[in-house]
Amino acid sequence: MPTQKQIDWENTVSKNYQAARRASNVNQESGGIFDVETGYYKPLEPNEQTGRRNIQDDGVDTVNRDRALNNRLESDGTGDLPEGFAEETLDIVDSNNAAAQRIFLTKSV
Amino acid sequence: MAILRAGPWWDGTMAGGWFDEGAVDSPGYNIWFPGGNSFPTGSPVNCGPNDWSNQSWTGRADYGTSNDPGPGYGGKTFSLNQYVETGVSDDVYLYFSFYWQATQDFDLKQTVETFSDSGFGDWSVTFYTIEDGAVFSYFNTIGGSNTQTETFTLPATTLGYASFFMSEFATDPSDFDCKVKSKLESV
Repeated sequence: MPTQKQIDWENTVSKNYQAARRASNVNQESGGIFDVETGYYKPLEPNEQTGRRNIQDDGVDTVNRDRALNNRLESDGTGDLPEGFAEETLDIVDSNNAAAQRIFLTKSV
Repeated sequence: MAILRAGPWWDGTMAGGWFDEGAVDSPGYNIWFPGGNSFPTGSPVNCGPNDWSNQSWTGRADYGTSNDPGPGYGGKTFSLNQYVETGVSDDVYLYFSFYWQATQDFDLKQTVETFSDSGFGDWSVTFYTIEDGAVFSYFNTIGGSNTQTETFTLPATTLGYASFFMSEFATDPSDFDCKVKSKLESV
């Protein structure tokens, strides 16, 4: 939905001038944001971390997505256990005295 | 709340008494060394009256006669619904033991058979839990040509110990027909 400034600009600026600006503004083709102050389409600001411009590019929150990916990479991203720990499947007595098994994170002492 | 498994066997001590006695039931291997060697320690730890996922319910049976050490002297493991019997003599005993872990109370029925016409003996059952010590004691006399049954309730516990002792001796010295035969079953 256009803002009040956009509506005002549309109503007051010469239609020919608007057409000339739009035709010459390459940023419009690349998804730029129309700046009502200048009458130009502004290029999107690239994201510092990813180089992507913003969430409007592909409909996903790339900033948070990439941050999550980075965090995963910091912990090797392989799902390995913390150092010194092992995963063991141990028997337990479950409710009603049924024998069952559970996976425990264990560490040698 | 679930209980982490102890065992598979325990020797009753708190100083590293857990051990894997998985070789007990291996063919040709007798941990009781019939012939007079000392008995090994320890009994199986069970999950209430049920099997573990990779180990069936198991009890330890020790038995002997007045002729110890000799024929009929020894021990073995047994399962629920499996009879264990002593040799025949003028004085015999049979002893079951095991540990258990349970989140709910459960019942076991014991059947005891005796065979001597002049036989007389004891039937003693005791339960202990690691939380409360001795929690149950049962005593009865057995003997003669009889079959007796009793159902016992084993309480929920992190770790409990159960012992079932049976004996028969001949009051007539000329009788050498004493024998005790018993089994436990889940009810």
